[in-house]
Amino acid sequence: MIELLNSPLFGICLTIAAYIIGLEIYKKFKLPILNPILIALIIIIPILLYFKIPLETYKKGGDLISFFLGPATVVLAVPLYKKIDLLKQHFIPILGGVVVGVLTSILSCTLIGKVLGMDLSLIKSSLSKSLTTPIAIELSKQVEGIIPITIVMVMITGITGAVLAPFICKIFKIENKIAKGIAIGTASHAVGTSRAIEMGETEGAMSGLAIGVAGVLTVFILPLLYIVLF
Amino acid sequence: MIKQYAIIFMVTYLGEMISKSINFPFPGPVIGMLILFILLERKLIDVDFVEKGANNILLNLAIFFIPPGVGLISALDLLNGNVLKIVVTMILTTIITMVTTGLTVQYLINRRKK
Repeated sequence: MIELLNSPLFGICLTIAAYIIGLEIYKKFKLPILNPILIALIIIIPILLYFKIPLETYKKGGDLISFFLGPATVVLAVPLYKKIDLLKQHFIPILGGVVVGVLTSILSCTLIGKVLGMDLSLIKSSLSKSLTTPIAIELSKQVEGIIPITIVMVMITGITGAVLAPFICKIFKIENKIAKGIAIGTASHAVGTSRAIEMGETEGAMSGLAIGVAGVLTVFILPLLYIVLF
Repeated sequence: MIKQYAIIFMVTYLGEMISKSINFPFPGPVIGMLILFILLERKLIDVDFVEKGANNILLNLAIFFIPPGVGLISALDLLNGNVLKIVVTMILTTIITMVTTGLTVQYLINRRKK
């Protein structure tokens, strides 16, 4: 049985099939909690566990797919470039807000994690959780986080942002559209941005811009802060 | 289209090489992203030259995270007893980050208007 699975095509087919199912379910219900990646993981992980298929067997194909994470991170420059005018127009507020957001995210993860008595490796995995997944994965590697845990944390963060954004903005009187967008993108990356787009055009554009700006700034801030904190 | 991917892969490779040769933990793909951004911003390459390839990759970005996510199988014991803590921390920190960011941006915009 295992020999039949011992081809990269097994991992590739399983991943694509699970992703398509995840995507279809998400499209049908449009609920942030039905995140397509989450659904795909809920499909694949039990299959591997139930049929006792070693992770290594799956990874033969899986690694070929995740290889594209590098190029996928690089091309994030394109949407960022297309929003450069927005950034230039509101340079100081955007940069100031994102820096504060990045610092808050790293510090609050460390503090709350420690208060709740979380394992150090889990806290390290959480430091990049507000970022877009490809950058979060790269940064998690740098700070010795556990990458699959980081991915799950990024998803919970995105879902939380997408569900709560309108209420948070209302309760804390964040009324300016630029402020709303930057806050959502900085705190909850692309999944949050999907909600920001529904809230309005400015909110969506700003949120999309904040994903890139927060990603780049964290690359500089996290290693420095990491030395101080750990 | 092949030229688009050629550029994207070359920039990725360049980022990887720079990352390995400097003494600071900058991830290669993010260096590649900065290189591509500078190339576009300085008009050294036209956005049309990479946009189609980039959009093709970005359109189904999520699928690339699935295999690393499946690695959760090897970290399942770490999740044991920590799931609630993780969920609570993620929700709280997301709210806190959103609020501080939003209020900072709003404050900076309002201050400028005065």
